Amino acid sequence: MTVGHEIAAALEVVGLHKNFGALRVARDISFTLEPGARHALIGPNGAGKTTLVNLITGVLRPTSGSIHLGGVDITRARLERRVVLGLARTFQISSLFLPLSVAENVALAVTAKAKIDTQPYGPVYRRDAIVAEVQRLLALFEIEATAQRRVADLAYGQRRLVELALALALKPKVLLLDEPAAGLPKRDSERLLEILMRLPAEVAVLVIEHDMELVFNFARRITVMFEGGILAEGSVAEIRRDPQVRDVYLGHRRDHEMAS
Amino acid sequence: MADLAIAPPRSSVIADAFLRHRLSWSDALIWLVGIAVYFVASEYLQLATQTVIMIIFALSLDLAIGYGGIESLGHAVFFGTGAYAAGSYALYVSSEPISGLVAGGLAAAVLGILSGLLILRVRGLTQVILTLAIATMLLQVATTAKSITGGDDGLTGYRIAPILGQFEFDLYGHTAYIYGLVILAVVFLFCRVLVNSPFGLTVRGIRDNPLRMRLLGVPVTARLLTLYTISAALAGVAGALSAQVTGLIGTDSLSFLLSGNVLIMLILGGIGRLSGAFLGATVFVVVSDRAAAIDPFNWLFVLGAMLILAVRFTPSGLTVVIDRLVARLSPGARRT
Repeated sequence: MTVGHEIAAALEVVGLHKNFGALRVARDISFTLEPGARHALIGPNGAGKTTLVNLITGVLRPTSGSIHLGGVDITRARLERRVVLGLARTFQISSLFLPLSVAENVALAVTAKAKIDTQPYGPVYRRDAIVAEVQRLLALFEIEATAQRRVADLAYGQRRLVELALALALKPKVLLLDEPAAGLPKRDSERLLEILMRLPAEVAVLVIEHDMELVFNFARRITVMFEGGILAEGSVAEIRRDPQVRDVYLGHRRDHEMAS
Repeated sequence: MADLAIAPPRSSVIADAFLRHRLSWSDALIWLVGIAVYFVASEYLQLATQTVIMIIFALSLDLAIGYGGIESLGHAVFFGTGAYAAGSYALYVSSEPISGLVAGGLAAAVLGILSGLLILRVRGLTQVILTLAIATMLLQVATTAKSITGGDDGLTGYRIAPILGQFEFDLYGHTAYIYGLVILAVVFLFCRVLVNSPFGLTVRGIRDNPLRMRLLGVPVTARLLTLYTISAALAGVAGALSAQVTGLIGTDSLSFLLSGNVLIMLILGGIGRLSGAFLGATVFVVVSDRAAAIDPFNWLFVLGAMLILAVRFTPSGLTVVIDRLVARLSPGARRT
Protein backbone atom coordinates (compact mmCIF):
# COMPACT_ATOMS: atom_id res chain seq x y z
CA MET A 1 0.00 0.00 0.00
CA THR A 2 2.90 2.31 0.67
CA VAL A 3 4.58 1.65 -2.65
CA GLY A 4 5.16 4.89 -4.46
CA HIS A 5 5.62 7.02 -1.37
CA GLU A 6 8.98 8.72 -1.28
CA ILE A 7 9.08 8.84 2.50
CA ALA A 8 7.01 6.32 4.38
CA ALA A 9 4.16 7.86 6.34
CA ALA A 10 4.44 7.56 10.11
CA LEU A 11 1.07 5.83 10.21
CA GLU A 12 -1.09 4.83 7.29
CA VAL A 13 -4.51 3.31 7.79
CA VAL A 14 -6.25 2.05 4.63
CA GLY A 15 -9.81 0.79 4.30
CA LEU A 16 -10.11 -0.50 7.86
CA HIS A 17 -13.24 -2.48 8.70
CA LYS A 18 -14.16 -4.17 11.94
CA ASN A 19 -17.31 -6.21 12.45
CA PHE A 20 -18.51 -7.93 15.57
CA GLY A 21 -20.89 -10.34 13.90
CA ALA A 22 -23.47 -8.15 12.18
CA LEU A 23 -22.38 -5.10 14.17
CA ARG A 24 -20.07 -2.88 12.16
CA VAL A 25 -17.99 -0.82 14.57
CA ALA A 26 -15.49 0.47 12.02
CA ARG A 27 -16.41 1.19 8.42
CA ASP A 28 -13.83 1.90 5.71
CA ILE A 29 -11.50 4.05 7.76
CA SER A 30 -8.51 5.55 5.95
CA PHE A 31 -6.16 8.28 7.04
CA THR A 32 -2.46 9.07 7.07
CA LEU A 33 -0.18 10.66 9.63
CA GLU A 34 2.99 12.19 8.23
CA PRO A 35 6.02 12.34 10.51
CA GLY A 36 5.51 15.24 12.91
CA ALA A 37 1.74 15.32 12.33
CA ARG A 38 -0.57 16.84 14.96
CA HIS A 39 -3.79 15.08 14.20
CA ALA A 40 -6.99 14.97 16.23
CA LEU A 41 -9.71 12.35 16.11
CA ILE A 42 -13.07 13.61 17.28
CA GLY A 43 -16.64 12.39 17.23
CA PRO A 44 -19.56 11.85 19.57
CA ASN A 45 -19.56 9.00 22.06
CA GLY A 46 -19.97 5.68 20.30
CA ALA A 47 -18.53 7.01 17.03
CA GLY A 48 -15.85 4.31 17.12
CA LYS A 49 -12.83 6.31 18.28
CA THR A 50 -11.78 3.84 20.94
CA THR A 51 -12.34 0.92 18.56
CA LEU A 52 -10.01 2.61 16.10
CA VAL A 53 -7.36 3.10 18.78
CA ASN A 54 -7.70 -0.58 19.71
CA LEU A 55 -7.31 -1.57 16.07
CA ILE A 56 -4.20 0.56 15.64
CA THR A 57 -2.57 -0.62 18.87
CA GLY A 58 -3.39 -4.28 18.24
CA VAL A 59 -5.88 -4.92 21.01
CA LEU A 60 -8.37 -5.75 18.24
CA ARG A 61 -7.70 -7.28 14.82
CA PRO A 62 -9.44 -5.66 11.85
CA THR A 63 -11.88 -7.65 9.70
CA SER A 64 -10.25 -6.12 6.62
CA GLY A 65 -7.97 -3.27 5.66
CA SER A 66 -4.36 -2.54 6.51
CA ILE A 67 -2.23 -0.55 8.92
CA HIS A 68 1.34 0.50 8.18
CA LEU A 69 3.74 1.98 10.71
CA GLY A 70 6.73 3.74 9.17
CA GLY A 71 6.18 1.68 6.01
CA VAL A 72 5.99 -1.66 7.87
CA ASP A 73 2.76 -3.64 7.69
CA ILE A 74 1.56 -4.10 11.27
CA THR A 75 -2.02 -5.14 10.48
CA ARG A 76 -1.50 -8.54 12.13
CA ALA A 77 1.48 -7.71 14.36
CA ARG A 78 1.39 -8.43 18.08
CA LEU A 79 1.00 -5.64 20.61
CA GLU A 80 4.64 -5.75 21.74
CA ARG A 81 5.93 -5.74 18.16
CA ARG A 82 3.99 -2.56 17.35
CA VAL A 83 5.53 -0.84 20.36
CA VAL A 84 9.02 -1.92 19.34
CA LEU A 85 8.38 -0.57 15.83
CA GLY A 86 7.50 2.85 17.25
CA LEU A 87 3.89 3.02 18.37
CA ALA A 88 3.21 4.37 21.86
CA ARG A 89 0.00 5.35 23.57
CA THR A 90 -1.38 6.87 26.70
CA PHE A 91 -4.53 5.62 28.36
CA GLN A 92 -7.91 7.15 29.00
CA ILE A 93 -7.96 5.52 32.39
CA SER A 94 -4.52 5.92 33.85
CA SER A 95 -2.67 2.63 33.66
CA LEU A 96 0.59 2.91 35.53
CA PHE A 97 2.55 0.93 38.11
CA LEU A 98 0.87 2.25 41.23
CA PRO A 99 3.16 0.89 43.98
CA LEU A 100 6.31 2.08 42.20
CA SER A 101 7.81 5.55 42.34
CA VAL A 102 7.39 7.99 39.47
CA ALA A 103 11.05 7.60 38.51
CA GLU A 104 10.71 3.80 38.54
CA ASN A 105 7.65 4.02 36.31
CA VAL A 106 9.51 6.05 33.73
CA ALA A 107 12.64 3.92 34.09
CA LEU A 108 10.59 0.83 33.15
CA ALA A 109 9.91 2.41 29.78
CA VAL A 110 13.48 3.67 29.42
CA THR A 111 15.03 0.24 30.08
CA ALA A 112 12.48 -1.47 27.83
CA LYS A 113 13.35 0.91 25.00
CA ALA A 114 17.10 0.49 25.52
CA LYS A 115 16.56 -3.30 25.57
CA ILE A 116 18.44 -3.59 28.84
CA ASP A 117 15.43 -4.78 30.83
CA THR A 118 16.93 -8.28 30.91
CA GLN A 119 20.21 -7.28 32.54
CA PRO A 120 20.33 -8.99 35.94
CA TYR A 121 23.20 -6.90 37.34
CA GLY A 122 24.18 -3.27 37.83
CA PRO A 123 21.74 -1.36 40.06
CA VAL A 124 19.34 0.90 38.17
CA TYR A 125 20.05 3.86 40.44
CA ARG A 126 23.75 3.72 39.65
CA ARG A 127 23.28 3.77 35.89
CA ASP A 128 23.85 7.31 34.77
CA ALA A 129 22.31 6.73 31.34
CA ILE A 130 18.99 5.59 32.82
CA VAL A 131 18.92 8.17 35.60
CA ALA A 132 19.75 11.01 33.19
CA GLU A 133 17.06 9.95 30.70
CA VAL A 134 14.45 9.65 33.46
CA GLN A 135 15.43 13.09 34.69
CA ARG A 136 15.18 14.55 31.19
CA LEU A 137 11.67 13.17 30.72
CA LEU A 138 10.47 14.27 34.14
CA ALA A 139 11.87 17.74 33.50
CA LEU A 140 10.13 17.91 30.12
CA PHE A 141 6.78 17.37 31.80
CA GLU A 142 7.67 19.38 34.90
CA ILE A 143 7.20 16.50 37.31
CA GLU A 144 10.74 16.21 38.64
CA ALA A 145 9.54 17.10 42.11
CA THR A 146 7.35 13.98 42.19
CA ALA A 147 10.18 11.59 41.25
CA GLN A 148 10.32 9.84 44.62
CA ARG A 149 6.58 9.61 45.20
CA ARG A 150 4.56 6.51 44.54
CA VAL A 151 2.26 6.92 41.55
CA ALA A 152 -0.60 5.75 43.78
CA ASP A 153 -0.15 8.94 45.84
CA LEU A 154 -0.25 11.32 42.86
CA ALA A 155 -3.13 13.53 41.82
CA TYR A 156 -4.99 12.64 38.67
CA GLY A 157 -3.44 15.37 36.53
CA GLN A 158 0.07 14.43 37.55
CA ARG A 159 -0.57 10.80 36.66
CA ARG A 160 -1.48 12.00 33.17
CA LEU A 161 1.92 13.61 32.88
CA VAL A 162 3.65 10.43 34.06
CA GLU A 163 1.69 8.58 31.36
CA LEU A 164 3.08 11.00 28.79
CA ALA A 165 6.63 10.59 30.11
CA LEU A 166 6.30 6.81 29.82
CA ALA A 167 5.00 7.00 26.28
CA LEU A 168 7.71 9.40 25.19
CA ALA A 169 10.44 7.31 26.83
CA LEU A 170 9.73 4.74 24.12
CA LYS A 171 10.89 7.30 21.52
CA PRO A 172 7.86 6.56 19.37
CA LYS A 173 7.30 7.46 15.73
CA VAL A 174 3.61 7.66 16.46
CA LEU A 175 2.07 8.69 19.76
CA LEU A 176 -1.62 8.05 20.46
CA LEU A 177 -3.09 10.19 23.20
CA ASP A 178 -6.39 8.76 24.38
CA GLU A 179 -8.38 11.62 25.93
CA PRO A 180 -5.43 13.24 27.70
CA ALA A 181 -7.61 16.01 29.15
CA ALA A 182 -10.54 13.86 30.30
CA GLY A 183 -11.45 14.62 33.87
CA LEU A 184 -8.99 17.49 34.19
CA PRO A 185 -10.17 20.86 35.49
CA LYS A 186 -9.94 23.73 33.02
CA ARG A 187 -6.74 25.17 34.43
CA ASP A 188 -4.97 21.81 34.25
CA SER A 189 -6.06 21.19 30.68
CA GLU A 190 -4.60 24.55 29.68
CA ARG A 191 -1.33 23.53 31.25
CA LEU A 192 -1.58 20.16 29.52
CA LEU A 193 -1.92 21.91 26.17
CA GLU A 194 1.16 23.93 26.95
CA ILE A 195 3.08 20.74 27.71
CA LEU A 196 1.73 18.92 24.65
CA MET A 197 3.08 21.73 22.51
CA ARG A 198 6.54 20.73 23.70
CA LEU A 199 6.35 17.15 22.36
CA PRO A 200 9.25 16.47 19.97
CA ALA A 201 8.48 17.90 16.54
CA GLU A 202 9.36 14.68 14.66
CA VAL A 203 6.82 12.53 16.53
CA ALA A 204 3.47 12.10 14.79
CA VAL A 205 0.74 12.66 17.40
CA LEU A 206 -2.83 11.40 17.14
CA VAL A 207 -5.01 12.78 19.88
CA ILE A 208 -8.52 11.56 20.73
CA GLU A 209 -10.17 14.28 22.72
CA HIS A 210 -13.50 15.83 23.67
CA ASP A 211 -12.05 19.14 24.83
CA MET A 212 -12.57 21.19 21.65
CA GLU A 213 -10.43 24.06 22.81
CA LEU A 214 -7.50 21.72 23.24
CA VAL A 215 -8.19 20.03 19.90
CA PHE A 216 -8.45 23.30 17.94
CA ASN A 217 -5.31 24.69 19.55
CA PHE A 218 -3.19 21.57 19.33
CA ALA A 219 -4.14 19.83 16.08
CA ARG A 220 -3.32 20.87 12.56
CA ARG A 221 -5.65 18.33 10.98
CA ILE A 222 -8.83 16.80 12.30
CA THR A 223 -10.69 13.63 11.42
CA VAL A 224 -14.32 13.47 12.48
CA MET A 225 -15.83 10.06 13.12
CA PHE A 226 -19.49 9.21 13.21
CA GLU A 227 -21.17 5.83 13.57
CA GLY A 228 -18.00 3.88 12.90
CA GLY A 229 -16.99 5.75 9.75
CA ILE A 230 -15.20 8.94 8.79
CA LEU A 231 -17.54 11.88 8.36
CA ALA A 232 -14.97 14.50 7.41
CA GLU A 233 -11.28 15.24 7.43
CA GLY A 234 -9.56 18.56 7.02
CA SER A 235 -7.66 21.41 8.56
CA VAL A 236 -8.93 22.95 11.77
CA ALA A 237 -10.54 25.83 9.86
CA GLU A 238 -12.25 23.48 7.39
CA ILE A 239 -13.66 21.32 10.15
CA ARG A 240 -14.94 24.32 12.09
CA ARG A 241 -16.75 25.53 8.96
CA ASP A 242 -18.15 22.14 7.95
CA PRO A 243 -21.94 22.29 8.46
CA GLN A 244 -22.26 18.51 8.58
CA VAL A 245 -19.75 18.32 11.42
CA ARG A 246 -21.56 21.05 13.31
CA ASP A 247 -24.74 19.08 12.95
CA VAL A 248 -23.63 15.69 14.19
CA TYR A 249 -20.91 16.61 16.55
CA LEU A 250 -20.37 20.16 17.62
CA GLY A 251 -24.09 20.92 17.58
CA HIS A 252 -24.91 17.71 19.30
CA ARG A 253 -22.31 18.45 21.90
CA ARG A 254 -23.54 21.96 22.49
CA ASP A 255 -27.07 20.67 23.06
CA HIS A 256 -25.71 18.02 25.29
CA GLU A 257 -23.79 20.54 27.33
CA MET A 258 -26.79 22.80 27.65
CA ALA A 259 -28.92 19.92 28.76
CA SER A 260 -26.48 18.92 31.44
CA MET B 1 31.85 14.04 32.92
CA ALA B 2 30.99 17.70 32.45
CA ASP B 3 27.28 16.90 32.92
CA LEU B 4 28.02 15.06 36.08
CA ALA B 5 29.82 18.04 37.50
CA ILE B 6 26.79 20.25 36.96
CA ALA B 7 23.96 17.91 37.75
CA PRO B 8 24.84 15.74 40.75
CA PRO B 9 22.44 17.12 43.36
CA ARG B 10 19.38 16.78 41.12
CA SER B 11 20.43 13.43 39.69
CA SER B 12 20.74 12.02 43.16
CA VAL B 13 17.11 13.00 43.79
CA ILE B 14 16.17 10.81 40.84
CA ALA B 15 18.59 8.05 41.84
CA ASP B 16 17.08 8.01 45.32
CA ALA B 17 13.66 7.43 43.81
CA PHE B 18 14.55 3.83 42.98
CA LEU B 19 14.05 0.94 45.32
CA ARG B 20 17.39 -0.15 46.61
CA HIS B 21 18.13 -3.07 48.66
CA ARG B 22 20.82 -1.37 50.68
CA LEU B 23 23.30 -3.04 52.93
CA SER B 24 22.84 -1.43 56.29
CA TRP B 25 23.83 -2.04 59.87
CA SER B 26 20.87 -4.41 60.23
CA ASP B 27 22.45 -6.62 57.55
CA ALA B 28 25.72 -6.56 59.44
CA LEU B 29 23.77 -7.52 62.56
CA ILE B 30 22.19 -10.52 60.82
CA TRP B 31 25.57 -11.88 59.81
CA LEU B 32 27.09 -11.14 63.21
CA VAL B 33 24.27 -13.12 64.82
CA GLY B 34 24.85 -15.86 62.27
CA ILE B 35 28.53 -16.11 63.19
CA ALA B 36 27.89 -15.67 66.91
CA VAL B 37 25.56 -18.69 66.91
CA TYR B 38 28.50 -20.81 65.82
CA PHE B 39 30.48 -19.94 68.93
CA VAL B 40 27.80 -19.34 71.52
CA ALA B 41 25.12 -21.90 70.73
CA SER B 42 27.07 -24.79 69.27
CA GLU B 43 24.59 -27.35 70.68
CA TYR B 44 21.93 -25.82 68.44
CA LEU B 45 23.95 -25.89 65.22
CA GLN B 46 21.67 -28.44 63.56
CA LEU B 47 18.68 -26.21 64.15
CA ALA B 48 20.68 -23.20 62.97
CA THR B 49 21.67 -25.03 59.79
CA GLN B 50 18.02 -25.92 59.24
CA THR B 51 17.19 -22.23 59.62
CA VAL B 52 19.85 -21.22 57.11
CA ILE B 53 18.47 -23.70 54.57
CA MET B 54 14.95 -22.41 55.08
CA ILE B 55 16.15 -18.80 54.63
CA ILE B 56 17.61 -19.72 51.24
CA PHE B 57 14.38 -21.49 50.33
CA ALA B 58 12.28 -18.51 51.47
CA LEU B 59 14.51 -16.10 49.50
CA SER B 60 13.86 -18.15 46.37
CA LEU B 61 10.12 -17.96 46.98
CA ASP B 62 10.34 -14.23 47.63
CA LEU B 63 11.83 -13.69 44.18
CA ALA B 64 8.86 -15.49 42.59
CA ILE B 65 6.01 -14.14 44.74
CA GLY B 66 7.33 -10.88 46.15
CA TYR B 67 9.11 -9.54 43.10
CA GLY B 68 7.44 -11.33 40.20
CA GLY B 69 3.91 -11.80 41.54
CA ILE B 70 4.05 -15.49 40.59
CA GLU B 71 1.78 -17.18 43.07
CA SER B 72 3.43 -20.49 43.81
CA LEU B 73 1.97 -22.87 46.34
CA GLY B 74 4.13 -25.74 45.20
CA HIS B 75 7.63 -24.46 45.61
CA ALA B 76 8.68 -27.59 47.49
CA VAL B 77 8.91 -29.44 44.16
CA PHE B 78 12.02 -27.43 43.40
CA PHE B 79 13.42 -27.95 46.88
CA GLY B 80 12.74 -31.68 46.67
CA THR B 81 14.04 -32.00 43.11
CA GLY B 82 17.25 -30.24 44.15
CA ALA B 83 17.56 -32.57 47.12
CA TYR B 84 17.04 -35.78 45.13
CA ALA B 85 19.33 -34.53 42.37
CA ALA B 86 22.09 -33.75 44.85
CA GLY B 87 21.59 -37.11 46.59
CA SER B 88 21.70 -39.04 43.32
CA TYR B 89 24.67 -36.98 42.20
CA ALA B 90 26.54 -37.95 45.36
CA LEU B 91 25.56 -41.61 44.91
CA TYR B 92 26.32 -42.07 41.22
CA VAL B 93 28.53 -39.22 39.99
CA SER B 94 30.70 -37.54 42.60
CA SER B 95 30.62 -36.87 46.30
CA GLU B 96 32.08 -33.41 45.80
CA PRO B 97 29.64 -31.00 47.55
CA ILE B 98 29.88 -27.75 45.53
CA SER B 99 29.19 -29.45 42.19
CA GLY B 100 26.42 -31.31 44.02
CA LEU B 101 24.74 -27.99 44.82
CA VAL B 102 25.07 -26.95 41.19
CA ALA B 103 23.54 -30.26 40.11
CA GLY B 104 20.61 -29.70 42.48
CA GLY B 105 20.13 -26.13 41.23
CA LEU B 106 20.28 -27.18 37.58
CA ALA B 107 17.79 -30.03 38.01
CA ALA B 108 15.36 -27.67 39.73
CA ALA B 109 15.94 -25.02 37.04
CA VAL B 110 15.00 -27.49 34.30
CA LEU B 111 11.81 -28.33 36.18
CA GLY B 112 11.27 -24.59 36.66
CA ILE B 113 11.37 -23.99 32.90
CA LEU B 114 9.01 -26.90 32.18
CA SER B 115 6.43 -26.06 34.83
CA GLY B 116 6.87 -22.31 34.20
CA LEU B 117 5.72 -22.81 30.61
CA LEU B 118 2.48 -24.18 32.06
CA ILE B 119 1.78 -21.95 35.03
CA LEU B 120 2.88 -18.56 33.68
CA ARG B 121 0.14 -18.49 31.06
CA VAL B 122 -2.39 -17.95 33.81
CA ARG B 123 -2.62 -15.75 36.85
CA GLY B 124 -4.27 -15.60 40.23
CA LEU B 125 -6.11 -18.54 41.72
CA THR B 126 -5.68 -20.64 38.58
CA GLN B 127 -1.94 -20.24 38.94
CA VAL B 128 -2.00 -21.22 42.60
CA ILE B 129 -3.97 -24.37 41.79
CA LEU B 130 -1.69 -25.27 38.88
CA THR B 131 1.46 -25.02 41.00
CA LEU B 132 -0.26 -27.13 43.63
CA ALA B 133 -1.31 -29.70 41.05
CA ILE B 134 2.19 -30.00 39.62
CA ALA B 135 3.60 -30.40 43.12
CA THR B 136 1.09 -33.13 43.96
CA MET B 137 1.87 -35.00 40.74
CA LEU B 138 5.59 -34.91 41.42
CA LEU B 139 5.14 -36.11 44.97
CA GLN B 140 3.17 -39.06 43.57
CA VAL B 141 5.92 -39.80 41.06
CA ALA B 142 8.60 -39.64 43.78
CA THR B 143 6.67 -42.00 46.03
CA THR B 144 6.24 -44.50 43.17
CA ALA B 145 9.73 -44.30 41.66
CA LYS B 146 11.37 -46.23 44.50
CA SER B 147 14.48 -47.10 42.50
CA ILE B 148 15.44 -43.43 42.24
CA THR B 149 13.99 -41.86 45.37
CA GLY B 150 13.76 -44.77 47.77
CA GLY B 151 10.04 -44.12 47.96
CA ASP B 152 8.63 -43.65 51.45
CA ASP B 153 11.86 -44.95 53.01
CA GLY B 154 13.74 -41.99 51.60
CA LEU B 155 17.05 -41.74 49.80
CA THR B 156 20.10 -42.25 51.95
CA GLY B 157 23.49 -43.98 52.04
CA TYR B 158 25.37 -41.39 50.03
CA ARG B 159 28.56 -39.79 51.27
CA ILE B 160 29.59 -36.16 50.89
CA ALA B 161 33.29 -35.49 50.43
CA PRO B 162 35.08 -32.73 52.36
CA ILE B 163 34.33 -29.22 51.07
CA LEU B 164 37.09 -28.09 48.70
CA GLY B 165 38.87 -31.27 49.79
CA GLN B 166 39.64 -29.60 53.11
CA PHE B 167 36.70 -29.38 55.44
CA GLU B 168 35.22 -32.68 56.49
CA PHE B 169 31.57 -32.77 57.58
CA ASP B 170 31.69 -33.49 61.31
CA LEU B 171 29.20 -35.16 63.58
CA TYR B 172 28.39 -31.96 65.45
CA GLY B 173 27.50 -30.00 62.32
CA HIS B 174 30.20 -27.34 62.62
CA THR B 175 31.28 -27.62 59.02
CA ALA B 176 27.70 -27.97 57.80
CA TYR B 177 26.66 -24.73 59.50
CA ILE B 178 29.53 -22.64 58.15
CA TYR B 179 29.02 -24.22 54.72
CA GLY B 180 25.33 -23.28 54.83
CA LEU B 181 26.09 -19.77 56.02
CA VAL B 182 28.53 -19.18 53.16
CA ILE B 183 26.03 -20.50 50.60
CA LEU B 184 23.35 -18.27 52.13
CA ALA B 185 25.65 -15.24 51.81
CA VAL B 186 26.26 -16.03 48.14
CA VAL B 187 22.54 -16.56 47.45
CA PHE B 188 21.60 -13.39 49.32
CA LEU B 189 24.14 -11.23 47.47
CA PHE B 190 22.93 -12.73 44.19
CA CYS B 191 19.31 -11.87 45.05
CA ARG B 192 20.30 -8.38 46.07
CA VAL B 193 22.07 -7.70 42.79
CA LEU B 194 19.11 -9.17 40.94
CA VAL B 195 16.40 -7.05 42.59
CA ASN B 196 18.38 -3.82 42.17
CA SER B 197 19.05 -4.50 38.49
CA PRO B 198 17.01 -3.43 35.47
CA PHE B 199 15.68 -7.00 35.36
CA GLY B 200 14.53 -6.66 38.97
CA LEU B 201 12.69 -3.45 38.13
CA THR B 202 11.14 -5.08 35.09
CA VAL B 203 9.69 -8.02 37.01
CA ARG B 204 8.26 -5.68 39.63
CA GLY B 205 6.62 -3.79 36.80
CA ILE B 206 5.15 -7.04 35.50
CA ARG B 207 3.92 -7.91 39.00
CA ASP B 208 2.08 -4.59 39.24
CA ASN B 209 0.74 -4.21 35.70
CA PRO B 210 1.52 -6.95 33.16
CA LEU B 211 -0.61 -5.51 30.36
CA ARG B 212 1.13 -2.16 30.57
CA MET B 213 4.50 -3.93 30.44
CA ARG B 214 3.42 -5.54 27.16
CA LEU B 215 2.57 -2.06 25.93
CA LEU B 216 6.11 -1.01 26.73
CA GLY B 217 7.21 -3.73 24.30
CA VAL B 218 8.31 -6.23 26.95
CA PRO B 219 7.63 -9.94 26.37
CA VAL B 220 6.10 -10.51 29.78
CA THR B 221 5.91 -14.31 29.84
CA ALA B 222 9.55 -14.70 28.78
CA ARG B 223 10.71 -12.41 31.60
CA LEU B 224 8.60 -14.24 34.17
CA LEU B 225 9.93 -17.57 32.93
CA THR B 226 13.48 -16.33 33.53
CA LEU B 227 12.57 -15.23 37.03
CA TYR B 228 10.73 -18.45 37.83
CA THR B 229 13.68 -20.50 36.61
CA ILE B 230 16.09 -18.53 38.80
CA SER B 231 13.74 -18.94 41.75
CA ALA B 232 13.45 -22.68 41.09
CA ALA B 233 17.23 -23.03 40.85
CA LEU B 234 17.75 -21.32 44.21
CA ALA B 235 15.08 -23.49 45.81
CA GLY B 236 16.93 -26.45 44.32
CA VAL B 237 20.18 -25.25 45.90
CA ALA B 238 18.40 -25.06 49.27
CA GLY B 239 17.14 -28.63 48.78
CA ALA B 240 20.58 -29.85 47.71
CA LEU B 241 22.12 -28.23 50.76
CA SER B 242 19.55 -29.94 52.95
CA ALA B 243 20.31 -33.32 51.33
CA GLN B 244 24.04 -32.86 51.83
CA VAL B 245 23.98 -31.83 55.48
CA THR B 246 21.30 -34.26 56.68
CA GLY B 247 22.34 -37.25 54.59
CA LEU B 248 18.71 -38.22 54.11
CA ILE B 249 16.00 -37.18 51.66
CA GLY B 250 12.39 -38.08 52.32
CA THR B 251 9.35 -37.47 50.16
CA ASP B 252 8.38 -34.78 52.69
CA SER B 253 10.94 -32.55 50.95
CA LEU B 254 8.46 -32.44 48.02
CA SER B 255 5.35 -32.17 50.13
CA PHE B 256 2.64 -29.57 50.25
CA LEU B 257 3.42 -29.11 53.94
CA LEU B 258 6.85 -27.75 53.08
CA SER B 259 5.43 -25.51 50.32
CA GLY B 260 2.93 -24.16 52.83
CA ASN B 261 5.52 -23.68 55.57
CA VAL B 262 7.89 -21.68 53.41
CA LEU B 263 5.01 -19.46 52.33
CA ILE B 264 4.08 -18.92 55.98
CA MET B 265 7.69 -17.98 56.75
CA LEU B 266 7.62 -15.40 54.00
CA ILE B 267 4.30 -13.92 55.08
CA LEU B 268 5.53 -13.84 58.66
CA GLY B 269 8.71 -11.99 57.75
CA GLY B 270 7.38 -9.79 54.97
CA ILE B 271 7.01 -10.41 51.24
CA GLY B 272 9.05 -8.63 48.57
CA ARG B 273 11.89 -7.36 50.74
CA LEU B 274 14.48 -10.16 51.03
CA SER B 275 15.01 -9.40 54.72
CA GLY B 276 11.58 -10.92 55.36
CA ALA B 277 12.97 -14.34 54.45
CA PHE B 278 15.63 -14.06 57.15
CA LEU B 279 13.31 -13.00 59.91
CA GLY B 280 10.36 -15.17 58.90
CA ALA B 281 12.36 -18.37 58.50
CA THR B 282 14.26 -17.82 61.74
CA VAL B 283 11.15 -17.13 63.80
CA PHE B 284 9.28 -20.03 62.20
CA VAL B 285 12.00 -22.65 62.61
CA VAL B 286 13.00 -21.60 66.13
CA VAL B 287 9.45 -21.23 67.43
CA SER B 288 8.29 -24.55 65.96
CA ASP B 289 11.32 -26.30 67.43
CA ARG B 290 10.87 -24.79 70.90
CA ALA B 291 7.11 -25.31 70.85
CA ALA B 292 7.56 -28.94 69.80
CA ALA B 293 10.11 -29.46 72.56
CA ILE B 294 7.86 -27.98 75.21
CA ASP B 295 4.60 -29.56 74.07
CA PRO B 296 5.07 -32.30 71.43
CA PHE B 297 1.31 -32.72 71.01
CA ASN B 298 -0.02 -29.20 70.67
CA TRP B 299 2.93 -27.28 69.22
CA LEU B 300 1.10 -26.63 65.94
CA PHE B 301 -1.37 -24.59 67.97
CA VAL B 302 1.42 -22.20 68.94
CA LEU B 303 2.44 -21.86 65.32
CA GLY B 304 -1.12 -21.16 64.22
CA ALA B 305 -1.63 -18.59 66.95
CA MET B 306 1.62 -16.89 65.99
CA LEU B 307 0.55 -16.63 62.36
CA ILE B 308 -2.87 -15.26 63.24
CA LEU B 309 -1.34 -12.62 65.51
CA ALA B 310 1.24 -11.68 62.90
CA VAL B 311 -1.31 -11.30 60.13
CA ARG B 312 -3.63 -9.36 62.43
CA PHE B 313 -1.07 -6.89 63.74
CA THR B 314 1.65 -6.72 61.06
CA PRO B 315 0.04 -7.76 57.80
CA SER B 316 3.13 -6.66 55.86
CA GLY B 317 5.43 -8.76 57.96
CA LEU B 318 7.67 -8.56 60.99
CA THR B 319 10.41 -6.68 59.11
CA VAL B 320 8.06 -3.69 58.87
CA VAL B 321 7.92 -3.53 62.64
CA ILE B 322 11.71 -3.51 62.76
CA ASP B 323 11.85 -0.88 60.02
CA ARG B 324 9.57 1.41 62.02
CA LEU B 325 11.67 0.88 65.09
CA VAL B 326 14.81 1.74 63.15
CA ALA B 327 13.12 4.81 61.67
CA ARG B 328 12.14 5.98 65.14
CA LEU B 329 15.64 5.49 66.48
CA SER B 330 17.38 7.24 63.57
CA PRO B 331 15.24 10.06 62.15
CA GLY B 332 17.68 10.51 59.24
CA ALA B 333 17.05 7.03 57.88
CA ARG B 334 14.46 6.80 55.15
CA ARG B 335 13.23 3.89 53.14
CA THR B 336 12.73 4.48 49.44
